[in-house]
Amino acid sequence: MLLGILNYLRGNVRIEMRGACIERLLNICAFNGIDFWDLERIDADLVYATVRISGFRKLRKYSRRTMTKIKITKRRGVPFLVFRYRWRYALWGGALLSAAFLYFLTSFVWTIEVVGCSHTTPVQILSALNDLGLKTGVFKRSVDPTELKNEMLLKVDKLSWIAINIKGTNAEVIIREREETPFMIPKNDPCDIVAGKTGVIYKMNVKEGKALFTPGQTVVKGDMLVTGTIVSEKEAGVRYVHSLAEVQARTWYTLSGSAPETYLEKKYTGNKKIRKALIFGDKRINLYLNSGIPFDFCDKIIKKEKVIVNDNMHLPVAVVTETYLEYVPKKAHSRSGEVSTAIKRALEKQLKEDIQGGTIRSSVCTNTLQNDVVTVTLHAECIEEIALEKELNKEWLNGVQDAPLKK
Amino acid sequence: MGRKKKKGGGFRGTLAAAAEKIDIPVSAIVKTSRISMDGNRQMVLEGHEGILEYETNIVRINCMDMIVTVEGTDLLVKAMNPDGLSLSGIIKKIEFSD
Repeated sequence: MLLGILNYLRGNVRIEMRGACIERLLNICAFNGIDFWDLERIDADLVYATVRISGFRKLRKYSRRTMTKIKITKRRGVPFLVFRYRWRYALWGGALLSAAFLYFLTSFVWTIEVVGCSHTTPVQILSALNDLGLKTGVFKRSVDPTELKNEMLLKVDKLSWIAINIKGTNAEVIIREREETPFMIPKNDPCDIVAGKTGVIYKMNVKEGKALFTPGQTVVKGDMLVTGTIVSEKEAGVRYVHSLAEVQARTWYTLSGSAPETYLEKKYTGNKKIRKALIFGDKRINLYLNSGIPFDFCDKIIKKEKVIVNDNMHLPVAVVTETYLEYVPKKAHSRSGEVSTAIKRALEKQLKEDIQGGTIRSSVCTNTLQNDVVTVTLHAECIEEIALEKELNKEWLNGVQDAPLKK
Repeated sequence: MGRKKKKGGGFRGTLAAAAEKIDIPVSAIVKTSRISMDGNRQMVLEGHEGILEYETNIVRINCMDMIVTVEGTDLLVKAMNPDGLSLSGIIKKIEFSD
């Protein structure tokens, strides 16, 4: 197969050899570097063979020596094709022009692919890239990936690493995002501890600092639970410490949600309409005439397929297929309890997110049905950690000196 | 005497016999022909000195110190160069002679 293609590209001729001692000519050919193949014996003095064009030129010299007549019966291959079409200038011009056009088109960036987004969106990255000069249709040579990389890292704070690979007409942008560091006060710096939520203190374990509340007391969000300002009773002065405490509190939550019990069900009629459009860059060409919505009630499914030559060569052309599926809306009544269960599940999920690792001690759920709308209310009592470190408030001491410490 | 004759005689024959004695391949010492076959359909002969006769039912090939005669039907020389030749068709008989 491969050899066949190679032979076709180089061109070969089928020849007819007629003479008394053809075997001698064949031996001479073989030992003088004239390759031949597909030897076919037709008659006692007639043999057919295939040789290359270069081989054929040499062969004529030897044929005279062995008194063999040689005639070409068939010409095959690209050199003969080229020779046949040599006067067709428009054909050659067209081929050259299309090759040049292809080369010209491949010197632009046609698609930009962003990989590795989790907190950021590809749109954010693309718009930042756009501002810095990398956009669809930009000349490839005008983009310097190294410089662009550095500019991107400066421009977008959330990035910790970025790679820009321009392969063919596709620019692949790989990003890694910076992990957000939680707010923390260094261990050697003094600090207070405040209540992160409102509740009743359930358990308190103070390792460093002075507690201002005892279990059983009610605290409001923002109240100082433990102070890092220690006043020596023997008048040795004021000392500041990094407060350290675990404070658990009982907290109460009331969450509610509602949803209608009836809903619209789609009953598909089976009627559908397909429309196609072509997109060149940002120009859209509709391949249909009537652009109105074909049905009163329908789902529209849009599928966009990019024209991709290979992994590295993406063309700025896309085919859009829009499928309209007709349906008849029908009022349906959900089964009793189905809606309330779904709401309850959603509320419980929300509660678990709110208490962040705390435990639910007890919860009560109430359902009400009014005007076809189900409302579910979830009352829950939880135990959770409410201690939050806060920078030391040095003013605090001035206010306290007048009033005695809460006990 | 018979052995010497079989190996083609002369210095090459002596070398081939010696190689056989000390259990090393003859082709490593003396340049000999090599024939490989795919069933009875294809045959590749390396180390030849030219075709002596070529018909559709018989091909005679001159090798180093012998003549190989291949008999069969629809015999076709597929390719040929100074190193070897490839033969296809239905091979019925191969004969070696001096």
